[in-house]
Amino acid sequence: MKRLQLQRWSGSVLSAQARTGGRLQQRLYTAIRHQSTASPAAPAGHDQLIREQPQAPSIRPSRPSQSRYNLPSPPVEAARESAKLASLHARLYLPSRLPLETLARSLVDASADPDPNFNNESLATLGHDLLTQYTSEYLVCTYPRLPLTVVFAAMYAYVGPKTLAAMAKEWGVESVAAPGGEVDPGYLQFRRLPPGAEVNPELITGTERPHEEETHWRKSVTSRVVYDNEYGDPVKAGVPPSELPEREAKNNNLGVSHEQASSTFVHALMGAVYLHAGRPAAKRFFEQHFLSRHLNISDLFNFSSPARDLARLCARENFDAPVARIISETGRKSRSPVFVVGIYSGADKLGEGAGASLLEARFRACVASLKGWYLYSPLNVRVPSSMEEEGAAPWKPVHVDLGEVII
Amino acid sequence: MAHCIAAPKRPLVALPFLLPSPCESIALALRRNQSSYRRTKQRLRVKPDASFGSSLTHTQEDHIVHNPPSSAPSVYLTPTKFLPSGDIRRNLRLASVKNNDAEALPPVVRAPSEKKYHLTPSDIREIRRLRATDPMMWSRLKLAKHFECSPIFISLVCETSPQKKEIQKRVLEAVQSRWGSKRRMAREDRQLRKDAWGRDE
Amino acid sequence: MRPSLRLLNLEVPSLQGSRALYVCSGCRQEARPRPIAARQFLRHASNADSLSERVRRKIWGTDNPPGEKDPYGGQGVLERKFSKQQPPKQEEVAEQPEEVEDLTLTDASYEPATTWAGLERVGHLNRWNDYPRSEADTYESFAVKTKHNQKGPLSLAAHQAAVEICLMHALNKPLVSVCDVTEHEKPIFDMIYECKIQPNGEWSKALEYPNKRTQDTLAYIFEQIGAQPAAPAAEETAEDLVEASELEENGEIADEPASDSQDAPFFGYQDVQDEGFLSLPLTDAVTKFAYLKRFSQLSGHYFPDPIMQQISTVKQAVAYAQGELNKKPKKLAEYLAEDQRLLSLPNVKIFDKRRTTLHRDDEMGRKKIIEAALRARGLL
Repeated sequence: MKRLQLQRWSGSVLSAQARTGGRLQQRLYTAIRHQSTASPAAPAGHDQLIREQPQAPSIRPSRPSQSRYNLPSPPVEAARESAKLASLHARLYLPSRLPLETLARSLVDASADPDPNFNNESLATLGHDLLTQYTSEYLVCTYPRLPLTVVFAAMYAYVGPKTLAAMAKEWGVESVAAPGGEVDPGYLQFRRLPPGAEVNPELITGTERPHEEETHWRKSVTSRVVYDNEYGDPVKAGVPPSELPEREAKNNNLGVSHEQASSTFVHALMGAVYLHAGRPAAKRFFEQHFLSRHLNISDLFNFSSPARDLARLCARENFDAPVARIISETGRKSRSPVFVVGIYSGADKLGEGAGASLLEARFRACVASLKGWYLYSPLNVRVPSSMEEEGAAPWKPVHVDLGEVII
Repeated sequence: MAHCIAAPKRPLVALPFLLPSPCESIALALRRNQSSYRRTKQRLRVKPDASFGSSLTHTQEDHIVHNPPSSAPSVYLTPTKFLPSGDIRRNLRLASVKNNDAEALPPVVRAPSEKKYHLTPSDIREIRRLRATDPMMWSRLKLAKHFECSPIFISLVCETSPQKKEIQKRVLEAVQSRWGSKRRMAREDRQLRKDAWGRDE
Repeated sequence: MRPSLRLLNLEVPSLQGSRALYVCSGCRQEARPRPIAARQFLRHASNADSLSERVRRKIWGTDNPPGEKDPYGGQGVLERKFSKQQPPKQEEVAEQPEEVEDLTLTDASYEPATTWAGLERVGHLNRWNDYPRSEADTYESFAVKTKHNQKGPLSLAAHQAAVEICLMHALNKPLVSVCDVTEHEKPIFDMIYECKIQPNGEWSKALEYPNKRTQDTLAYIFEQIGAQPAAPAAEETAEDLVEASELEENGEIADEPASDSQDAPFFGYQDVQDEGFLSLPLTDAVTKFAYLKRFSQLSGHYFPDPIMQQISTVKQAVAYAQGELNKKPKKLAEYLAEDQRLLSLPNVKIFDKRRTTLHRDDEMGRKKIIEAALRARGLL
């Protein structure tokens, strides 16, 4: 059974973990800016290797193998010679319409080859959008009552960078020691971080959130939808196109972490499948590789005062006030008693829990009741993107809940 | 199951295999092995539990035995009350489950206290005044006893002075400083266990 | 106060004062020092009694057990061996101090050397490696220097060996003496080349000369080979060949190969004229030995004993030399490179050379970093 890395818990007990989640979002912004400026030429701030490339080359001119050392990434024709690439293609059961050349391109990170015509940045932007869309609509439609923090955590567990890096590792994608034109195109190519570099900066600055310098201010969960990325983490703001070259040059010197490069590769592969094989194949790829991973969403919850939450919930929904009742007990006066307590609203049982004390059993029963509420899943779930297919049945609105209990 | 194991006490004549046959009389060890083996087999032939399906009535039919071990219900099984009104499962379950009376419900853990709502705004002003004038004397518990309300309500109404908070903090530190390593570890463990409740571990 | 059971007090006093390690009850047994049980059979050097003596004492329970000192007929093998070894050891121990004393007495000005400079040279004091090469030092190969592998030279060698052995048979001389002359001069070889062999099974009558003069000349030459030491024989043959070459210049042998192929083996001849020698039998042990010896001398091929057992005709000897009897196995990569099914697979690559770390470094991009680092240090 595949086990996801459950790094995140809802609730206020755990401190927010600092992660590098913002790069993709920033890439997203920059790519949008690219399109708006509508100039395919490479920016002027790139290094010399790029300058000697012709402006907007459709295909890199083929050179003798001696000069492969001068290229930042392997030439296009090397993709057909690589056994690693072919076996990766076969191992992932990728559609045959996805050519090896595109698979090779999706393995080239922007830190290895800054030329946007040869790196996977554009593919990754597309794939990132697809992945987050598919995952979020699956989560929201399957569990319509999930609290937003749990949705963030589940998103991070399904398509977070750590998960994607683990997937790339499971797929058998190895990485180069240093990028270059002579390397096998079947390797993941990126420039590594210099030794001793800070991988996870504690505090991300330069976000779009107003008053971000006031760290002690309360950040509402809803504002994280607006200002933060899909995992609810702060993200760097996009840069205006005039400052783009300097930013790019600075980033290129730095290199990226292995985790980040792996997740960019998986994003790019998703985008490549979508581009070459179409939407149904991309959805199939998503279901087979991402949704098939087992994630126990009930483990993502963390309650600090479930009894209060449950009372508020019952009041909101016009249920009878919850009452804890002892269903069974054993060894009350002994060293290790067991109580089974059920939470009842009127005559209906909402949940039950067992514990070594009445307090614990009641607490656990409240947690179980709340999870029973939050983990409601309608029958025959359909996601909105299923309407994109030909001959889909008419759309029935999905269940929309009032939202989580706010005290 | 104990009665099943003790049950087979039958006359020897009814168990012909226990009698030594002429050919087996030489191999004493073999005979003893065989008899013990058969006795074990015999004891293993227990009557199936009643929950395994009524095989007496439907002897000829194939049936599925569903006898799960007793465990807490899954959290993915939404309680009927929590199902939205449009969900089809709600009607299905309501049809299948027979109605329970309120008397059949198990006993409550703690009787729910009836809320009285007897305090007036003047009472609340009085509470605040008392707490502000003499915080040492009028603690939360004393105020709650005096006004016949819960300490939580007192904390909702007013807040104590920072000096009192400081003193309380020092008292707590003084008490905690006298704890040994065992008591400290036990208290920490208790808090960790309590945190684990919320994560359902 | 009784110490806590959960804390393990190490017996060895540590330098940082008393240190109490927390060790769980499972690991505590392992952390303890080794039990005494393993040391029970240790013998100390101080107790001089043999094992059997100690056993006797233990059995009787006294230090002076009754009965014979050793009822089993003296010392055992091991004990005797040890007792033999021990006295010289003691002598050495005794002698060493004396030597040290002698040294200190005689050499008062003794200084231990710190470097090798100025020390007396130990070993062959006459500087053997500075001497010029003597006759004994030079090595001359028995066989020809180049090993022939093609069919033509091998056939030529086999033919020459067959003709020579036939000649020796005819002359009734020791067969092995043909090996005294490694290579004949060109005119003689021409004459040998001209000779044919009738496959009639008799070594002495198989030879067929092109003309009478050749027969006489060859008989004259090979008459001399066995009788005299090798070097004069070679000289004489050289003299003879002057005459012979003069004779040939006069006329009979027309198809002479180009003169620039003097250095080439077998004087530039490519292949034999007739194949009759191939059917000659190698059943006689003396003939077989002589023939194979001469053939291996001419061709440079060594015949191992099992192969020599198998060979019964000249043809088999030539076949072995050509590598037909036990062919060199083909490389796996060559087989795989011909497999069309493998070649059509995109995820399979076939290399004829072993893939080393260098290749892997290159395709992972590590090689250029290594080379740059070596260049920066001036090592490349």
